[in-house]
This record gives sequence, C-alpha cells and structure tokens, in this order.
Amino acid sequence: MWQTSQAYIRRSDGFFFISTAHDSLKNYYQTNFALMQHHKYSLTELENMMRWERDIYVTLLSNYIEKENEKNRNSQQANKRVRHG
Amino acid sequence: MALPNIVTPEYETTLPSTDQKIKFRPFLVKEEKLMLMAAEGKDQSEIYKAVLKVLSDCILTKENLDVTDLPLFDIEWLFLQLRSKSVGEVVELRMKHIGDGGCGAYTDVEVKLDEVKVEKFEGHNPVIMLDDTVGITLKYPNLADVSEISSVTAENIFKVLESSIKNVFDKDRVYTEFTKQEINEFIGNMDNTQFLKVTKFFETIPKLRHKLEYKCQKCGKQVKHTLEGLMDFFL
Repeated sequence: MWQTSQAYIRRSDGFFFISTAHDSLKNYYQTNFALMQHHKYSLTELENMMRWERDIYVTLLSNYIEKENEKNRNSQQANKRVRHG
Repeated sequence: MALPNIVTPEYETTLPSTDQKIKFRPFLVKEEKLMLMAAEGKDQSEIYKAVLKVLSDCILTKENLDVTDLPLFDIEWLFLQLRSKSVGEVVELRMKHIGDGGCGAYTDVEVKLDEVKVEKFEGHNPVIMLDDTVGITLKYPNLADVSEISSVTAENIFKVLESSIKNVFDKDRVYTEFTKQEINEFIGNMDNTQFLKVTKFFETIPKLRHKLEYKCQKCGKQVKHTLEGLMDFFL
C-alpha cells in the first residue's frame, strides 16, 4: 500500500513537466522580447498564438535573417571586388 | 460591442476512464506562461492550479465534465494530448543506460506521443468485497485529493484511501454518507487480507505506458525501457 500510493503520488506532478520541459521562463521572455523589440510584434499577438505557431514565426524569421546576412556579405564582397578591381 | 473570438483548431480525444469524447484546443503562448511560472516556482499547489486552469480553458466540452474530478491518468492523458497538439508530437529524451551491464552513457531518443497509450489491467475492479457481505466501492484519486498531500507519510496515504472510498455496502444497504472518524475506524478495522485487496485496486489503476527500445550510443547494446506515468519522461 505504501509503495503503491507513493508511486501514485509521485506520478501526479510528473505529467506536468512534459508540457513545460521544452522551454523555460527565461527563454519565454527572451523570445517574446526579441520578437517585440526587433520585429514589431505586439505582446497580445504573441500571447494569443499557439505555441507551435510562434515557433514557426521564430524559425521563419531566423531563416530570413540568415538570408539577409548572406545577401549583405555577398554585396560587401562584390563592393570590395569593384573597389580593388 | 463583443470582442472577436480567437480562432484555434479543435481536436477530439477519448477519456480513458469513461470513453467520453472530449473536444479541446491547443494551449496558447499566454497559457504556456502560466505553466512555466508554476514550474519555475516548484510549488506543487501552484502547479496543480496551473494544470486545472489550462485544462479548463482548453477543454471545449463542458457538459458532464468536471476537470477537478477527473482521475490522474485522465489528466495525464489530456495533458499529453494538449502538449502534442500545442508544441509537437515528438518528445526528445536523453536516456541513461543503467541497469545490468549499463555503461551509464546518455542516448538521445525520440518518443512519438501518439504512440503512448493508457494501459488497463485485467481484473481491475473498483468494487471490492471485504468479506461475504461487506464491500466497498472505490473511486480514482483526483488531482485535488493528491494536491492536499505535501509529503508521503502513513497519515497522508490513509487520507488518499479515505477520499477514494465512494461507498460502503453490506447485504442490506449502501452507505454513501459517513464521517471522517467513521471511515477512519472502518479502514483501521480492515485485516491484512482485506487491505491487500484494496492495495490491488491502487496497483492496477490504469497508467500511461510506453515501451522504448533503442541502441546505446556508446556501447551499442540494444536497451529496452518502459516509460510509465510520464514521470519517467523527465528523469
């Protein structure tokens, strides 16, 4: 009885952590802040998104930033070549 | 003027305890914040409050359903469904190779949440005959029953049992109303055999179970592991 109930009680909050293990409060605020500060989202918009929806926007933005950086690097190199050539 | 509703997709699942169809929506970023705050605080009663709040908000079926009265395995199941539809259907686990011949190395394993099932046990019966004429009907402990328990002591375990007794019956009548003292005395008067029968009920409560098989990244051995009750998903 002791062991059974103990196991049952221990189980009770375990299920909770699967829903939160993928993120932390610190990361939650950092992500929201970055999206608001740099990409003009409002807090209401962000908070009313589904969790995976926000993940998609973060991934799309990160891809976009990477492409922009790549473009900038390429144009800087092209400019250098023009100046030296 | 009424504010517009935020449109979210609806999903359906079946409650393992009653086979009732339940409609639910994924949790939103603001609801996730509630859970993260509770998780950060590590206060069990805050965690339970957050769980109940998020479940009540996300479950769209309101008829014949009181979230506070659901057994824990139903809550676990619903939470798994919510997590699956809100964040993703795959959980990444780091499994430590322990046990006989375990090398102690960690292996990354993916678990598909839609493969996790509630396992029911044969012979599980909430009606328990204590002798030829007297019996009890037990109910599954719910989140509220467990949330009152701060530590695992003999006294607290009796509390769970007390709150799990739905009725006591004999050949003449069914007793549904009794005082705390009466039920305490009743439990105290059980002999070992009767107590074991009650224990069997708790041992065979349905649980979430998933069998994992993976190859250890370090020693290459095939490892079998059973995840139970979701606690294992985090340890």
